[in-house]
Amino acid sequence: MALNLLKDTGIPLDRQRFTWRELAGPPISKLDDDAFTRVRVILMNGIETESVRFSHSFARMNRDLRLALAQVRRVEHHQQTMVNWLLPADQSPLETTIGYEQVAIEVTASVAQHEPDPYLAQVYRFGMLEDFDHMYRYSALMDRLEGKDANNIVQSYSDITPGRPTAVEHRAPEDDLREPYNRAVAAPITKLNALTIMAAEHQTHDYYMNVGPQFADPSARLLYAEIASIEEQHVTQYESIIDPSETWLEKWVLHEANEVYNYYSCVAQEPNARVKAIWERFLEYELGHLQIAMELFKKIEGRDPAEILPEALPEPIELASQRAFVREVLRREVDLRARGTQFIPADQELPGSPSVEYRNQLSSEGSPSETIAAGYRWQPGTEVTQNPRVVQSGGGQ
Amino acid sequence: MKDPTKIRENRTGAALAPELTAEMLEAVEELSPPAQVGGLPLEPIRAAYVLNAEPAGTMPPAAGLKEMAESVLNAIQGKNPLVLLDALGARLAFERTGTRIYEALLTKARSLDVVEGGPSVADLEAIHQDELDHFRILKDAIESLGGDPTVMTPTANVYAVASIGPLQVVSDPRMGMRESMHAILTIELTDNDGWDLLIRLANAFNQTDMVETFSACSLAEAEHLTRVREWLTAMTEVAATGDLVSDADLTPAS
Repeated sequence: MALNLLKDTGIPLDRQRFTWRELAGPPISKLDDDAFTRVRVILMNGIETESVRFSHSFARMNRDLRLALAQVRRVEHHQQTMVNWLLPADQSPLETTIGYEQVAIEVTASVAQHEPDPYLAQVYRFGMLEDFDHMYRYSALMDRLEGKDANNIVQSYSDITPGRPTAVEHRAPEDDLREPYNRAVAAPITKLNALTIMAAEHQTHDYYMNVGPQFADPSARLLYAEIASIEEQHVTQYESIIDPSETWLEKWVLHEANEVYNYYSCVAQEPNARVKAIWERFLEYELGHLQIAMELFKKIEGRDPAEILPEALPEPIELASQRAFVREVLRREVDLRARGTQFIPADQELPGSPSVEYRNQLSSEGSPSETIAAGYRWQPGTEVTQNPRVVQSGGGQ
Repeated sequence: MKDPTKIRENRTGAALAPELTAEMLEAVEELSPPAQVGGLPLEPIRAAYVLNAEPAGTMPPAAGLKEMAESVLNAIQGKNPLVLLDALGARLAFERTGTRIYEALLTKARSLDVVEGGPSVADLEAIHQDELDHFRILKDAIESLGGDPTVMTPTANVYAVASIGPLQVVSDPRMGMRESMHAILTIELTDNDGWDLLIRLANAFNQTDMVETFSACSLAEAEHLTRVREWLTAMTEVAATGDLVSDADLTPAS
């Protein structure tokens, strides 16, 4: 399936219609569907969330484009609804959280391997190791709070072990900013990668901020508060790698192209026929949106979209287990820290540096992620099956 | 609706992917800390919060109680009437939610083929009516004490939280009659003990009329429980002994 971004027109906007029944269709199965079907649903919800978020910001700053943006945005909103409503009701917020972290690990790892800019590849690897640790902390919480095995969600595709400890991920804002790509020379895939990962991280932040207070257990409330803070840092990191000198219209064209690219990636790999049909339909919708954005780009800025888009799409994002790569990165880079926009070995992070001071203050009453996962070793069927002593009452070591 | 025990597409469980699971365990061996031995892992955090927690909610100002009849006031003298009002409010809320849960179940009964050994539509309509009647009885009882039946009392709130799971099961269209009946059983078990507790409480407050009325409700609830147990048992046995899974189906998936 070869697509030409500049010529394939997709389905025109006036034929992009929904009914309520379509929007709230049957969900996927938590038990029976492949974990990567869930990964794709969560990823595409993030991509659509970003499209709506960006479109609102754009509209608030551009009077003349408000109508065109509103028309496309209404469809994007309904696309997001249809995608997000694929998640089933028996999937608890904590189970969905494990799914979110699997997205963050596997999609970021895939993107890191296909990013041609070595500095940005390093940025992705750096963030990925942090999300990898979140998976471990949330898995410990799921086991110890609910007595459930996180592997029933990840289906053995992702490892559940510590990464860069969440407790040391807390950084001062000046250490979360990165150098942006240069829009004039960056490869198209570089721009798409940045939008994809920024979108995924932003929805993760928003999800944790919404579900965190729904937990009764103080451990869960604390862990969501702590990890949501890292997700805020990740949004800061990933939005900072995007060239801020791109015009609004240029960003719109790139957003639409990225939606095409992501749906294209999903279509190529989806085994669930019903879900695949949704990806195929929305791929056509996004091509329609891209046409509108490109026409306005040409008309208002007098620029050729070919200046920023390739004719052919890059290879699809590989939505599959990246275990070997992740483990290799863990071995080599788990001890990296950030200073300004650069990465440094942990031993070069000096006492009294902004991030160390910030981190020490936040954790001065204890670190939730450390306490919750203390001595946690994932085992098939939860740690209870392997080591009954961990549930003995009476406290103490 | 297909019987979920006759289909084999579940992807959870480590045994389905032994090689991948072995890789996960290899990573645990290399990268995870030694297991924690002894102690409750979340206790250090929980204990601090438990010690300092305020109630999730309290009873409303007892203005209505001032209007209680003298006979009622005499009967409850020396006791805390708010405990009784809280318990009445809890049962009322539970019966009201129970009414709605049975409505969701009724739709399944009307829409799906009758499951052998399971309830008929008429069976469920009768229980639904009982739940509704019990709700109204409790409303009258609260008003007779000068209480406000629209209040969500602290224990009503506890039951509301505890009922979320059964409600999610019964209202989920993907969960059939037998799966729903598991959730209904937890509701009826709780309901039965709830009525027993309420009768003891009404007795302690010398509310003889309430004891009499509530005892009739309790008998009806005991009947519900008996029937739900029978339905669940029968449906499960039919599933187990009816159309048996063939030997071919039991051959390990490749």
